[in-house]
Amino acid sequence: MTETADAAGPPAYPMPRTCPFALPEQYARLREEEPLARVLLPTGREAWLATRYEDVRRLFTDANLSADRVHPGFPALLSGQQAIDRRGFLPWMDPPEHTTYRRMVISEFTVRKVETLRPAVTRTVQECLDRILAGPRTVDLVQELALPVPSLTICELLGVPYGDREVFQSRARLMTDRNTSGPDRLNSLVELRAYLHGLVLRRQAEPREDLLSRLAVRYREAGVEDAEHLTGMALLILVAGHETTANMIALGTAYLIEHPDLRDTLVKDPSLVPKAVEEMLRYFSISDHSTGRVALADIELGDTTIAAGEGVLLSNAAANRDARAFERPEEFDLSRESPSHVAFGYGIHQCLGQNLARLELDVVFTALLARLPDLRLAAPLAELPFKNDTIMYGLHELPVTW
Amino acid sequence: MSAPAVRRAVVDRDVCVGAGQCVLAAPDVFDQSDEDGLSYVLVDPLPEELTPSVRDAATRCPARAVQLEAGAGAGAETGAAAETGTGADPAADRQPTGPSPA
Ligand code: HEM
Ligand code: SF4
Repeated sequence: MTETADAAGPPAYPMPRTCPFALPEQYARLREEEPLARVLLPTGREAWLATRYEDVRRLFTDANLSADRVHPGFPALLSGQQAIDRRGFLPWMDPPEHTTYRRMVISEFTVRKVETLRPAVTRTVQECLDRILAGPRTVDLVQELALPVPSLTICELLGVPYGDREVFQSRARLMTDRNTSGPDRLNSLVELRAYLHGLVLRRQAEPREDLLSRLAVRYREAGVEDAEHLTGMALLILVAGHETTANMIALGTAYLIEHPDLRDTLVKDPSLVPKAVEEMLRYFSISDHSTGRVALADIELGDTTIAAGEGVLLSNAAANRDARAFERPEEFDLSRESPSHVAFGYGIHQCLGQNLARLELDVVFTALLARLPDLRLAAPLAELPFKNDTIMYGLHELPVTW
Repeated sequence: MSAPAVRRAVVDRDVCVGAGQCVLAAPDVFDQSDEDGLSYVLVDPLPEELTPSVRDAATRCPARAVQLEAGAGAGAETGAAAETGTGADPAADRQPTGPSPA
């Protein structure tokens, strides 16, 4: 395939992951031979693909690269994104708009604030595990643990009342299920938006002690009386924090099951779990396809010029396995010290929810290893439905037994 | 790295994006305000033993908002400089808001 690629034009992107825990095979060659390569997108357009750690970090901080999905040069992987109501969607904004709205929410995601959610996250995780242990000895861990933990955590964070959580969760679940048809998926998104819009209106009228209420007050103080915008922000927090974390839980569990030495080490010393989580983030780099940009002016990178109007894909996955930055990058290594991986991106859009994600993953793996140390796959690894067909990498299902 | 000790750390609050990397890397030096979520420095000047962790914080900071001042004689360095040890990083110049002099 690579042989004919040159004659046939640039290689197609996204590139498939052929082994569940490895990156697309082409990345290693591109990183060495063509660190800024032309690729062909599913939309028929071409874009640049950056694969080296230093280049990717540099591009992430380049103010001449825009995250605006509406820009005609944006390297979209799906068509039709331009049509989506983008109000409130931080990752699609550029400064100064981005700065204004990110600042409205930063204080909700500080290390200290996130830590206050630990008891609630722990309760959610323990309840999921109670249910799993009380039921049949084969379950789909995606449905029973990986999806409910982040969705209930986000309910807690946003201040979704207990009575409404089932409505919220069922729609969120439909949205991520591959068996949901296109129209149904859109419909569940519309219903979730409508639900959140109602909640926003209630909190605007009668603020409480929760994120949405505080945001409503901050929006008002900033002179933005736009309930749709606030709804968009709430929806973003849900969408950005739900499937991402779920995929990490599912992949991490599968990885631990397949690597008994690592699992035993963590069972013996749970204080190493945060290190394992950090390494999982680097190793899986599930959001590899979410970090596209478009050049607003010419940008020089080495001998290459990214011309104004051209799209660039910043491969955080390729960067995270660059031997220039990580010794023996293909090894899963608990003793790794810095430099920091770019699985949460870098620059002004760096993941707002990263400390919450770390907390959730820490709590989940610690509890899972304590209560189900003998977890096994209920199907061969090679037959598991890895998400090679979605933007975000992960698992559609994870059948396990014990 | 045998880089000189860092005497001061400064957070440029105009460019901080509140990701808290500095707090994770050097909890004794940085904290995020409850008010606006932006980072600020807890200790000034810095005791020498904190040099490795503030360098780590400067490298991790996604907005390159953590600036370090080395011991006598050396000028201010940004996170990028601290990381590569080679001085200026072209990307640092393209920040939407340039680093303010400490
Ligand atoms: C392990 C799970 C997660 C991964 C791998 C992940 C990854 C990312 C990445 C790569 C970006 C940057 C996108 C870009 O540069 O264009 C990002 C942004 C973002 N993430 Fe996450 N994320 C995770 C969990 C979460 C959670 C739990 C939340 C919230 C509850 C969240 C909220 C956000 C938000 C709001 C942004 C946009 C920030 C901005 O544009 O300023 N993420 N995430
Ligand atoms: S790491 Fe940088 S951007 Fe993040 S809180 Fe600290 S100073 Fe601000």
